[in-house]
Amino acid sequence: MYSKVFKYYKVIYVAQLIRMDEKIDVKKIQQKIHRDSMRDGVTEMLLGVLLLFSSLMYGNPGFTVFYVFTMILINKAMHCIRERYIHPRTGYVELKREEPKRTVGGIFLYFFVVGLLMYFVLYLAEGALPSSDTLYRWIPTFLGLMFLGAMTYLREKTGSTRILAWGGYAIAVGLIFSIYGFASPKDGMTLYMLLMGISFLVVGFIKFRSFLTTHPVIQEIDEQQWEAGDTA
Amino acid sequence: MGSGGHSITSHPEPPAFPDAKAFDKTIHEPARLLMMAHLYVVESADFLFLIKQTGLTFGNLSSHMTRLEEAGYITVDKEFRDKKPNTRLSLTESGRRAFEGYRENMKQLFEEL
Repeated sequence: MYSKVFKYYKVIYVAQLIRMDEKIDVKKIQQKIHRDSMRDGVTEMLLGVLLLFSSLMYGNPGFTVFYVFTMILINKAMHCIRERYIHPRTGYVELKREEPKRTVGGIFLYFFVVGLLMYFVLYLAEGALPSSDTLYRWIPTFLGLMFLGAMTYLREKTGSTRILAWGGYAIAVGLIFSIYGFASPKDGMTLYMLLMGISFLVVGFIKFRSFLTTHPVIQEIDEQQWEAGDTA
Repeated sequence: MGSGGHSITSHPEPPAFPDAKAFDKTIHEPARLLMMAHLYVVESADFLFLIKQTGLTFGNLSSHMTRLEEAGYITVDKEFRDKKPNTRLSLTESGRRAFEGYRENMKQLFEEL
């Protein structure tokens, strides 16, 4: 009887400990925080703008000045939008920063490996060193692979597999644009960035609108308000 | 002993409960544990963020915040942003070590069980 009672309490104790342990799965918490930080659609919108300007720049070099301005101002724009629309709804968090060397190093390594592999494949396909026209023609596929790499990295950070759909979409469109015979090889690259830019902008805007609707502004109240029962 | 009677068997010594004293009682409370875990994975976060992420109420968060601050595990910075109160929390070094120690104790405990 005694040992049965003991076992019963031990089971409850262990169950409580398991619940406590689940609360401290820091990887899941971190992934959720990253996932939530991407729900607002702001990153997609600004990436869409960047890609649109890139396509315009390649189509007309006169747009280079606007592109440079966009690159400089994009961080500021993101900060302003977040301060004005996002933080009043979600609160503010300063995420841990990864070591820049590691991130940049990783990006360059991936860029280099993918580029080298693609060049090698084209060399095998043509039986000779690829011409500049061939290289331009296959840039959409290369960009698609870059997007796939970026989305795979984000999948790891957020724990969300849905994000890989963007990578799949980018690769599929890239392949289609590379295989399709455009009049000029650069047209494929320009149209690819235009389409991806519009896609990101539209999806980002839909997410942003949905976010504003589903996340009302909340306000921190001070202790005096709390004690007075003023929780508005 | 009587004839045909049952022999008296002594009850075996029950196994010892895992040593709960090993747990930091400041952290070993569900709401505070949740707060510590969230602050552990970020540089800093404000009150509203923690309310959204943990699901705790304002009063609950406020009282646990005070307890953690008294223990020296978090720093609390209060300021005004756009004329609205804003409270930012971050884990101190001792808070970080305490949380890591707590996790280690939990891990050892489950290995013993």
